[in-house]
Amino acid sequence: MNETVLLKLKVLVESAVRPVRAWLPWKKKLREELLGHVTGVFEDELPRCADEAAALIQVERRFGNPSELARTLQESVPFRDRFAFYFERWLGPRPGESLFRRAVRHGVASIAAEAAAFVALMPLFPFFWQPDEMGLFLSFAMVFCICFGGLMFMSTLLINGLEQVLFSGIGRARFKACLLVAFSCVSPVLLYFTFVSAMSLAIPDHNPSLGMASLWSILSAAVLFAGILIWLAWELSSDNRYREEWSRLQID
Amino acid sequence: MNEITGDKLRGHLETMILSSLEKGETHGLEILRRLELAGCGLLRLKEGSLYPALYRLEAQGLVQAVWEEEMHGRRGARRRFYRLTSKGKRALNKGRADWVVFARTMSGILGAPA
Repeated sequence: MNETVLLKLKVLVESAVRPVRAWLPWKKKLREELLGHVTGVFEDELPRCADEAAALIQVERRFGNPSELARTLQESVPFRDRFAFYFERWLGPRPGESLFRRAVRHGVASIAAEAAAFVALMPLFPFFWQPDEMGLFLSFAMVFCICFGGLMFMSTLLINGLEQVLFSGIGRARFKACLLVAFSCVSPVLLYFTFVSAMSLAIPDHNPSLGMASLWSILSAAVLFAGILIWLAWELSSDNRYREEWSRLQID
Repeated sequence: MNEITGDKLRGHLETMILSSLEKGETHGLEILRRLELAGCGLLRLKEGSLYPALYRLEAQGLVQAVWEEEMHGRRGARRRFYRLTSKGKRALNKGRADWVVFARTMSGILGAPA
């Protein structure tokens, strides 16, 4: 099978898969399986047909109408994959949106989600805390939400920056990469000290001491966090390449 | 004889797939070959419609799927192999029992023995 035939088979598959509202891992599975199928059908038909063009016509006939298939495929998408699709679309870049603006959107959404979680936890308050600890609980909730909102904001910027300098394939800027990795390590440390300082302000007699054990924990968290960001940047890069490859196909 | 197309198969496709998988685990294209063979060449399925049915069966836990590990020299993409689960076997038995009742009822109504 030559490249032209493979491309035509990919276009046939993409016509059925592109309209389906499901998140990327589901669509990847779908594309690969349908491509495997039409490839098999083509290999079946080729010895029976006069040439490759005739075999392709048979493949299309047997495959059925792609838009009809897209509808039935949509019905078979499980709820969690549909939900993940909308979440993925929300998380991803919007047309004309700057990276900074996206990072702000992620940060604000993170604050809102954590605040909602704390509100949902409020009915449990009397079971675990004394009534006079309400102020402490609210302070903790507020500082927690703001710190993690900030972390989400920084993570969005760092992941995209790391993706650009490490995996985009448009030339690696070593200095920029080192700077971003270093900042990825520093982020959780900054977060810890911001959290501790803010809590000290909220509770006047709160005087945390930083022992060797907590120092090691913070350093380990810093390295782990940087590793996670680099892994996410790599995932983002491979997803972007995959999306680009399939979105380049011209479908009717 | 007239061909049996999608409209007449509606509602039975999933049981037919389970029945074809009773012969052993296989991929989508082979499932279609088995169905065509069992239907004496009278079945005319739009092949793409097999996959939504397979995904529904997988979501219900009636079949289990795994990607093939080797391409065996083929180009293109990997194939997914489907296997009947014990829940699927029970569903197949129920499907068969339902079919017997359905066929007997229709025969009575139409006055044409199956």
